[in-house]
Amino acid sequence: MARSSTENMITLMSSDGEEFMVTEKVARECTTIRNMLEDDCVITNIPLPNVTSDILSMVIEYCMEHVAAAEKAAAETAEKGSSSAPAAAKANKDLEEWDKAFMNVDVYTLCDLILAANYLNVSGLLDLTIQTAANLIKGKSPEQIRKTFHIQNDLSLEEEEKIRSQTPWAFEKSE
Amino acid sequence: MELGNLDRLSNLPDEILHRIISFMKVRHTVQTCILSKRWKNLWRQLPYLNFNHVDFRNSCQFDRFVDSFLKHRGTSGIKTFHLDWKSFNVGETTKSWINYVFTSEHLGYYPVELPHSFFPSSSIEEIYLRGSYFPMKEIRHESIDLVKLKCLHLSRVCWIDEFMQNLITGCPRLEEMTMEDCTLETSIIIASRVLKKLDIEDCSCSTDVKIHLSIPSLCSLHVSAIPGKVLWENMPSLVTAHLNLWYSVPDCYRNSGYKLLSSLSNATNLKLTCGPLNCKQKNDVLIIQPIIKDFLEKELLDCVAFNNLKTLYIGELDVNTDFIVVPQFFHLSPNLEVFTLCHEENPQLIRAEKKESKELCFPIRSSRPKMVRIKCHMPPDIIEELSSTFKAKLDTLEII
Repeated sequence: MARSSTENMITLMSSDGEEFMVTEKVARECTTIRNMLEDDCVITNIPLPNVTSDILSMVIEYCMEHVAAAEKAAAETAEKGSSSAPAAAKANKDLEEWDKAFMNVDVYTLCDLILAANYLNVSGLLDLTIQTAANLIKGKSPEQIRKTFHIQNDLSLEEEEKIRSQTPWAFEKSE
Repeated sequence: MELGNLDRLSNLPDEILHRIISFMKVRHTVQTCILSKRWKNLWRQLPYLNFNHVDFRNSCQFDRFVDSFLKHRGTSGIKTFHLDWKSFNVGETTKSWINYVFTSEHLGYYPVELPHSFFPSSSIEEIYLRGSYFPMKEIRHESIDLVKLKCLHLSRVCWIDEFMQNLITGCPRLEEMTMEDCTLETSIIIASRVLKKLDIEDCSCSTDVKIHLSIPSLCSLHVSAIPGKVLWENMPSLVTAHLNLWYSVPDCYRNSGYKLLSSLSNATNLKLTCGPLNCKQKNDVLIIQPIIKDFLEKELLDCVAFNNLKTLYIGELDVNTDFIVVPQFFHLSPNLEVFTLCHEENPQLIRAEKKESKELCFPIRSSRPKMVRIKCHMPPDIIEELSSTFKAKLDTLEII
């Protein structure tokens, strides 16, 4: 994963004990890790007890892609003096497409990614995953939402009726 | 696997679920209360409120819903409050909603008249005010106390008294302010030590109105159509400035000894343009006048040096006749790296005298220029002139 031997490497350890070597630059995409590195600059091994290896590998993949995109844009700007607007727009669109493809996951993985992005404080990934979850929940009836996210209804019929009768204004038909 | 284990969504923290359901229509967010026990009261603490009349059958149903929602929600703080309703009139019902938001230390977005009591709030961080050219009035200074407000966006608001001034002084932590399509009828002083970003777009003023900007903390300034007489104080923290001189009031940039360009002299990136931001009628032919040239000629006369300037962008300057002002600018900018001269940013603009399109962009080191890259369709004599202007030995010359 290292692009150059001079770059600092950080080892991230998932909850199930798997180790991931990443460049410091990639690790710094996670604000939580960046803060750790700033507090203690010699740290090279970071255990992440809240993140499993499959989710951590996805978070790293996301960070690497976004670091690479930012580096590419910076290199182009440096080379040409200024980045051309159409090229920058295309790069943005490519990254958006990549994000979209990256979000092609099942709802469990999605929710685990949200938790990991929240814990590691990767704001771009958190926004992306929350937006994806929002797109899944939008426009659905309560029954459809339960089905999509496998939410078990632990309310008895009487309880549900009671809630409905307390909030009739929310269940009026709008069309 | 048990269903409970599969339900990862319900296990997410409240603040994340709130962000997710805030994208739903507000009626649907309340309906999540019957999903399960976990969800029963979740909507009551939702800090992002967005009520839009189009999601309801009629205003009667809308009013009933908003009333009930505000009555039954919990006491937690509101972070954003958007209200979009059909009627131009603000009835007692609407006023009571706004009152709710402000009096219970929540947040607001609100056009038209605001009672005094609306403005003290210790939790609001961002306000969008969109009016319909209605005048704001009768707000006293002491009633505005928005200690946490960071962003203020004003759109289509007409200020006829000191409200605007009071609003700005009443927000000690304001970092970002946008004024779009607003009308000012009294002079104001925008004085702040924390404001970082200021956008003034398409605003207008009465003739005797003066705007005084005293914002040493400002990093980013964008003004399009300078609305009136502006007193510009120096902005030592400025990084990026974009001035669009299109439709600016004549001589708006020179007043009582404060010079606009000098006050921007600490900027790293400077962009000067002269054209409408959004040209909707594509077939309209607009003739542009040499506004930028006149502006630069006057402003550069006794301007201080631009020691931080790295990128300079000038739009709509005629290379053949107006170019004389550019070397003057370079002379004042010892660290300039990239200069872009762009013609026809808006393709529908037609020069009064010439019709061809030109773009010139090259990095320069004024002190020891080694490489110049030219990307344009330039006549050779212009290129000659440019290279002699910078006394550059052109190791590399690219013409594309």
